[in-house]
Amino acid sequence: MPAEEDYLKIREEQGEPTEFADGFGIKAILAGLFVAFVVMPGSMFMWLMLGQQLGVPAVWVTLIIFLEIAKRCRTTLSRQEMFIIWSVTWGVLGAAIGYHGLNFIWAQYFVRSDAAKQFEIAYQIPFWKAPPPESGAYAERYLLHRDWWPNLLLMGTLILWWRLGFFSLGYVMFRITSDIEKLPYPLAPIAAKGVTALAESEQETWRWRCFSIGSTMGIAFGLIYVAVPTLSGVFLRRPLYLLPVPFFDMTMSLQDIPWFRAVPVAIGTNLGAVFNGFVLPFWMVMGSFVAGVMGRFLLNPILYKLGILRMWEPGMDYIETQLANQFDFWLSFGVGTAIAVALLGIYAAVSRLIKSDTAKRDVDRVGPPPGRGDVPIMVALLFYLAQTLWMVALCHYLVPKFPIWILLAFGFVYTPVMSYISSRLNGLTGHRIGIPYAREAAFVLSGHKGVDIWFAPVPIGDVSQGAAHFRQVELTGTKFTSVFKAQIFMLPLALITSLFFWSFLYRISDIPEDYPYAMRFWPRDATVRAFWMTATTTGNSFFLSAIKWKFIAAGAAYGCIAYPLLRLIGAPTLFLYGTIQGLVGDPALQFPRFAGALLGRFYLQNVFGRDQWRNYTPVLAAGFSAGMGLVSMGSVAVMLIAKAVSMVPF
Amino acid sequence: MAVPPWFVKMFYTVFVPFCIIGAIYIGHSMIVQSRLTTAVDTMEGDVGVDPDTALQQSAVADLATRPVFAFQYLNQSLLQDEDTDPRMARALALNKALEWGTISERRKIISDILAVMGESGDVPRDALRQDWDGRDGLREMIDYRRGLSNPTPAEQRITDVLMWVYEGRPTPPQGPEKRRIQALEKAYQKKSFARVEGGALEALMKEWTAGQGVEGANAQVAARAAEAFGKMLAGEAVELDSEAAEFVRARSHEYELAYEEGMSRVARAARTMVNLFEATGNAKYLGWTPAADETPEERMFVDHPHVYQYVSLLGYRKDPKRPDRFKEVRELVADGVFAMRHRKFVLYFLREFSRKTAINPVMAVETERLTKEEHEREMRQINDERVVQSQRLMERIFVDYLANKGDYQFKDLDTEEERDEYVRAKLVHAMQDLVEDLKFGATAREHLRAMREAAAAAGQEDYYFRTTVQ
Repeated sequence: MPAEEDYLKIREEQGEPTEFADGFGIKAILAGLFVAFVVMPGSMFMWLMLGQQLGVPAVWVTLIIFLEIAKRCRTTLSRQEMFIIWSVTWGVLGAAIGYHGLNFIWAQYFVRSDAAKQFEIAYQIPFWKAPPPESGAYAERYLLHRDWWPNLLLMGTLILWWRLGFFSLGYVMFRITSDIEKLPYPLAPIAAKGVTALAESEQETWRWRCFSIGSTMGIAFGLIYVAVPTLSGVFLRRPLYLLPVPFFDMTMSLQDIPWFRAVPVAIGTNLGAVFNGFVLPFWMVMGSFVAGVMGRFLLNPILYKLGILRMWEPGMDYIETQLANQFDFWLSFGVGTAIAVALLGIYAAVSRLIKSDTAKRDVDRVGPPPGRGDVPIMVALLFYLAQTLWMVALCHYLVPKFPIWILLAFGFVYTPVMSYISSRLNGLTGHRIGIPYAREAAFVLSGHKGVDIWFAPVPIGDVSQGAAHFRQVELTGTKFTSVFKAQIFMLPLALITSLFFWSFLYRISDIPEDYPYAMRFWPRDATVRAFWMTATTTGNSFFLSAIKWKFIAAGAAYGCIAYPLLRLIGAPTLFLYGTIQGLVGDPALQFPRFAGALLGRFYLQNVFGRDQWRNYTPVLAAGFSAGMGLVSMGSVAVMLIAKAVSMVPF
Repeated sequence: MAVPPWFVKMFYTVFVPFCIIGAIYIGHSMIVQSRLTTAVDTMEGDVGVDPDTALQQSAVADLATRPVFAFQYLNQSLLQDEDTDPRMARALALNKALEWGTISERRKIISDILAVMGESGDVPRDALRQDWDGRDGLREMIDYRRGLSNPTPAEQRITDVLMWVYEGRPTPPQGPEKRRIQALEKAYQKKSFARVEGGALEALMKEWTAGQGVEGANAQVAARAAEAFGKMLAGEAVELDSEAAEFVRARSHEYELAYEEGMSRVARAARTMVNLFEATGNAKYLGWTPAADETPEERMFVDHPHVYQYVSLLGYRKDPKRPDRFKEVRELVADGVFAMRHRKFVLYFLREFSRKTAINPVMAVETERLTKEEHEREMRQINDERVVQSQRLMERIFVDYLANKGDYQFKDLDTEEERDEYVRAKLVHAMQDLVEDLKFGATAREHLRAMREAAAAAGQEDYYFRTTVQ
């Protein structure tokens, strides 16, 4: 098989569904109501208390609960129905507690924070983001106060448009990367096959057995990794950690050795990464490991000696070392590799289209399979056009002095190009890519003065997650139209219930007061955010110095030269994309993933057979995730009860 | 097709017109934005371009079509860093060229000191003594630093170390001496021609070498200066001869003046915009109904961040060494803020600015041109001026309020009692708080006395000053 098409085999192994069915119905509606009224307040509370949402655990637990209810009602849940429940759960929680859902709760704090006052931001926050600090809305602690109306209106409209945007550019990217380029989206089968396994639980198929094994392992590991620290935190002054979470940091202990200066050394301790290593394409993991670990081990000391890594200082831990190196070198290099991914993607897509044309292949090769519930591509493009124009117009209305051409460039150039790059890398490696600080740099370079632009709905984004979600929908044999219906149902529900519960929480106590995580970390986050905003007030634009054109050129050259070289020697191209992902990703994750890939490839594959093992891996990973989720939910429930009944000294 | 045809038809019916309307709105906005930006650029002027009266009038007429938008654009122009203006970049570059001889000498002194200074600040006994040729230069540098207005603590400590070296190290080193001299070395590295200034000097070098913009006898002087600029850009130690220095100084002054005049024009235009939307607004508050053809922004809604930005300009680029620089801009802004006195937020921000007698040093950052200390000093100078100007305006507004209470219709404050209480809390109490301040107390006391007299004349002293301890 030619090296360029090694990922096509991976796609074939994923098993394309031949039939598609609708999954939206009364069961999905009930699931949405369950999540909105039962899971959401718990998730909000947990977010304020611990800084974590229920997320993955809530999704699997909701699925399992509905499965059990269905059994007791002597009915069944089809794979498609299960997937829509999965999708609705994610959607409701995401809309309610995600970036936009939290918006006003965070805004009411930020406006009055010490950081906003000290950095002279408080009075520069526009009325459509938050009422001014002296507003009666704060004294009344009432989110429906008329001073909040502009913010609520704006937030509701934006959530609606962004979520529906999933069906515009996200869908277009899916059509390009999945239908035309046939990229495999290696992590998509985890959710798809996990849902399938649960749907087949009554039949005791191999999927169900795999899912159970994965769940058992997840429960066992979850007890060590999540339950012990969480529950011990209830009884002991300091939580007990049997394993360092989330990684074992050796950076500081090794930096006395000259070669390890400016090298971030850490090993991720989450077993989930090993399961990811099972699922991801072997050569992609190899490339990722070589770039992420070996690249850092070999290149960083050399860059440090050459004086390129200047910000690093002895005493910096893993995170600080990573951050310092990012600013000095890796950020610019990563931007260069992103450019290379785009160029290679355009080359691959165009050459594939030309080949299809030359060979007079069937149009179906690039067209959607029948019955999938596709939207006409023109509809998606028109919606993207409308959405972006509307965002540009709204942004201009709110911040009239910001140059419109930059907004248009963000909406019609940056967003589609970066979405394509990111979707392509996501389709190949399961991970996204982005250009850090592009938005911030544009704000500063535009010469804009004031902080209003930082809060404006600038039409910049990466819809690759939407593209990946379509692949998940496709793999479960669910009609796309049912996802659309689910979105229509879910949005008002999420908006109304989240407003209701946030208002309730805000009325009972002034957020972040009484919430340990929020009280501790929000002031820090506010300081960081306010500091960034000073870039457009006092001109503190230190991050602009992190953009170094020669390193960007080096990154782009690396990607563009390595590709033909690898093809020349017959090496898999996934190795190249792996290295690109490894260069911008977290090196700590590479060790367990590498271990998983080696274990899978050289031992487990021999035991179970290659094809069988490829079938097992996503189901095992989904089961593991569900098992950990169950333990997390249980632990959190105990902790919440403990917090609710314990006395506070004030 | 999986999506029903009626849906697709409905979609096209809704979104095709939507896109057309959106595109028209954005296209129209771009035209408006371009027209306003061009008008602001016209008011600013450029190298060798000063708009005549007719051009200014036409620009103001363009701006007047959208007074609130124009007000924001004009404020943006005033808030820009001065080196982003090509005239000011040239002036800064020329000023630096004039100082280049001194800068080179001081760099040499610093490197001499660092060459013999140990890590803990120790210096060999016979080094940097009377026979050191940098002694006179060091003395000059110390005198210069001591003459700085508002030196930061870090700058003060560096001057102390220089003095310690000059006096022959009478006490043992404390340890941080080398670090402080290294900081000074870094500060002098900033005194090379940064990106914008370097570009400006290079452009001037080319122009003057080609004889552009210089005529007659000046051409030769300009050519000599241009030759020196080339060496300066290459980092060589060189000094302008007295004739060239005089010429360069005159040119620098011209550029600076042109920039200052540009900013005055912008401030004047902003003042005109305030008049436009305040007149409409006042009329509205007094029961006047807006005309049917009025666009919403003419009905005077100005969000509080824009008011904040404008009020913050009260200390515009204040430099105690050159008090008249940008004086007109500051006066125009003060006048504009007074014209906006019927807004609740004007009082609110004046109170905030008058009581903000110290800056947050974290906000001072190293820029391409300035060290952190220099930036901090600039910020402090501007802040101090803003405090004084705010106090002055608070007195002015209070006196006006007593005389014309009926004109003041602050939003959300319906009754006269509420408004009285608001004025009392925001103006009188804020001024009373300031009286205790060591730096601004005397000025505050003066303004407070005037306010008290005005209140007494209106027979309302007891109400407004009932908690006054004076």
